[in-house]
Amino acid sequence: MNETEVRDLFASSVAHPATDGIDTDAVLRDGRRRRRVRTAAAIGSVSAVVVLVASLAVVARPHQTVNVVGGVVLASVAVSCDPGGVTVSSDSVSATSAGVVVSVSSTLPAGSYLTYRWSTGAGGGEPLPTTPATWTLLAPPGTLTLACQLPNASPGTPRTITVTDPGNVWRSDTLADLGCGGGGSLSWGGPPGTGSTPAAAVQALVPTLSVDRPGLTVARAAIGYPDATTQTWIASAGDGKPYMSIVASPDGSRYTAAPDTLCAS
Amino acid sequence: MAKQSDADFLGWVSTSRDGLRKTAFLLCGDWFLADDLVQDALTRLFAVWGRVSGSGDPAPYARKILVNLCLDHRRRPSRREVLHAELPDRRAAEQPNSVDGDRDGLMTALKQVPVGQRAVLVLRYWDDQSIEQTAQILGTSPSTVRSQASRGLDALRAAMSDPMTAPKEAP
Repeated sequence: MNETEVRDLFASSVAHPATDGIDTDAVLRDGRRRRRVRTAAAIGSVSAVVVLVASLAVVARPHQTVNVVGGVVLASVAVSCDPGGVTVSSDSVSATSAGVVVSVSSTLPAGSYLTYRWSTGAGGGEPLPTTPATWTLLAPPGTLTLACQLPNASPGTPRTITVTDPGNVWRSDTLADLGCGGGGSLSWGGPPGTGSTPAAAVQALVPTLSVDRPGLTVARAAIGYPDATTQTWIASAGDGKPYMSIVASPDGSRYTAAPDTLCAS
Repeated sequence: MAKQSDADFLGWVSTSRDGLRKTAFLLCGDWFLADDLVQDALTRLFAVWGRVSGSGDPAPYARKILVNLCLDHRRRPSRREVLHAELPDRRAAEQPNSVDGDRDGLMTALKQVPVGQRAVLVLRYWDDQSIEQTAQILGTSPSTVRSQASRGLDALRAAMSDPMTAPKEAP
């Protein structure tokens, strides 16, 4: 028996698999439970530090000066995570039509994070790249707070910069303004739609959603940054009422789309 | 951001679950157990999805979790397969998920290959992992992978020719 014969035997052995019994809802639920304690601890630490620093800033520097280089507010900001903490190239950055462009570099060990939070309270964190990389954050105009976090440690001292919108590119409407507010979050266990563009990914999802709600139509929600690669869409029922929001986001060289929230009826 | 991350993960799962299930089946020989192990592996992967997906292709990490879970399961004495002195009365074609005797014969033979060697065979000749990738997944050296692959092929060859005289599984 040679290697080719083994490959053929393996292929024939799995040619007729049993019905897939994997419960993706349980995967998400149990996976969240696994990371909840760690995430809660991290968020608590970030919040405490942010509140402390913000309080000190209000007392010590009530009118923080925006750092303008050469009379122009920069269209991207360089952020570096080093053992000494986070450093930023500017106290201000102007938003582009796709979001806030951040050039990230790090000398911290693998597994370290850059956490970010904007003035609405939303945000998140991503693993720091091993080589310099450019990220586009969906931070709205206002403040953007950044902190570096070593593995298994609390986030370091944060830095807050100002996001400006000289081109008026940010669309401040919310889903509620578009008639899709107040609904609950969806736990989607079905396959996402995929496509070469966000629109194609959303369209690929529609047949799955239409099983329960025939006649759905989808349209891009005019919120946030117009050229963002992560987009929010609204699916409306046959009577034109918004039914649910869908988020399409990059996935390698393609896009995936999945339901996000239900619109209140 | 969380929903976006969920969508990313579910997108990856939708394209990867079939391959992971088949790998698990070849490692453990049972579709139901394979699904349990894949579900466990996906749960562990989702818990660290942000870090893993941000660092590149999540597939190697997922494969490593899955193989370790399979090996752990196989090595637990309480869960180890019971080797019967006599063949069961049921014909192979009557057993669940068995389509023909050849396929069942392979699984019977594969189960008699020592678990570490079986993992090497599956990773090398089903998952198409290189010697170095296989070594990384199993946490061993490339030279060990080479020798395990050679011995595994010998063991499988012997088991296929006469399943009853093949070497019994080692822990």
